[in-house]
Amino acid sequence: MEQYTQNRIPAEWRRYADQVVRNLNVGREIRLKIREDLYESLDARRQMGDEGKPEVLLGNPRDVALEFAENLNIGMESVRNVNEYRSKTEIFGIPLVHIIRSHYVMGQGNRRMVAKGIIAVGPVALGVFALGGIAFGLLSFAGIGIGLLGVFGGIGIGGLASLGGLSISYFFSVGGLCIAHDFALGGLAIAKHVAIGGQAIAFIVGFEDASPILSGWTRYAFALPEQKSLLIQAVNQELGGMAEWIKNIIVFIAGSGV
Amino acid sequence: MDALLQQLKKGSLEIVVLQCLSEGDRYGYELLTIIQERSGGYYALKEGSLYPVLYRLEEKKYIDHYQKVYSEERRVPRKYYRLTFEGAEALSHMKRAWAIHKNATDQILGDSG
Repeated sequence: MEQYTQNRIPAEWRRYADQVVRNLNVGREIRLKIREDLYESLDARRQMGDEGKPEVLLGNPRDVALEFAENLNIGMESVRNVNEYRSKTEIFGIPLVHIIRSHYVMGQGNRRMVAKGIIAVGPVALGVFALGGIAFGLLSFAGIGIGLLGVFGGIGIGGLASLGGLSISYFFSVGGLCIAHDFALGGLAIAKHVAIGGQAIAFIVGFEDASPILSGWTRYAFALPEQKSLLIQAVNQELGGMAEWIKNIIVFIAGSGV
Repeated sequence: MDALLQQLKKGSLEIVVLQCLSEGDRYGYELLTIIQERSGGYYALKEGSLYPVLYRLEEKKYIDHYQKVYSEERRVPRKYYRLTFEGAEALSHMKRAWAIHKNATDQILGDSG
């Protein structure tokens, strides 16, 4: 059914078909067929004068999925039992909130469900704000997370900032083991410019340990907290190429956080 | 009783669908309504029952489909199903088998009644 574009299909039909096929543990081809047939059936009913929401015309999506499963001989056990919330409000076709509280799929395939939304919450979450065991987002909060802007997590890889047991980011990382281009603060802190930590590797380091790890590119090393003011001074003086606001943040954290 | 009827319906759905298609090409919803009307409401099928049968029959090559595209903006193209040569043969085979089964069963039931 390539002749018509998906955007001609009313959004509530698409949402309904999504709910039906999402509940079925079948291959892509069958899912596509079912989706098309549901659209056709809804359209035919509308032509016959039947109006109303798809749930009223065809029934509860889960019941429809159960019936498909039974008649496709894939067994009732292949129907997902998913505890999820999906907001009706959508932005560019993406639900504002999508929460998957639990998922399990018996039978063949065992595909995992991913929470996808502006705000996505689930065992695996993908969204602008993603919260989950494994999360990918602009801002992620996760056991293992990737955040284009920032991430808070056990293991976090963030674009700008990262906070976590193991945290890696471009600008600012805080954590047990933290790696950043500009500024790292943590147990073992590694950065190109400034690192402050129990042990630290950077151009400018502030260390608390008696034997800091000093790399070849370390030019300044200050014992903290005694030499905090010297560290701040070095940041201000030596990182001339760095944006002022970044230096201000580093100075602020170096001055108050150690 | 309900469970038995369900099983009987399920078992005879393929022959019913093939018979309807032997009379002309039909789209899904049309099949649903025709089957319901002609059976006096006995076969009140839903999409979840009919389409899997159509998928199966298509897989067996007993039927195939073509699309009818409408010029109106808000119309979804319709899949019209039609009987193939193999489907026509299968239908006549099924009808013979059905007649044998029905006669034999009726004889037993008639004898006991």
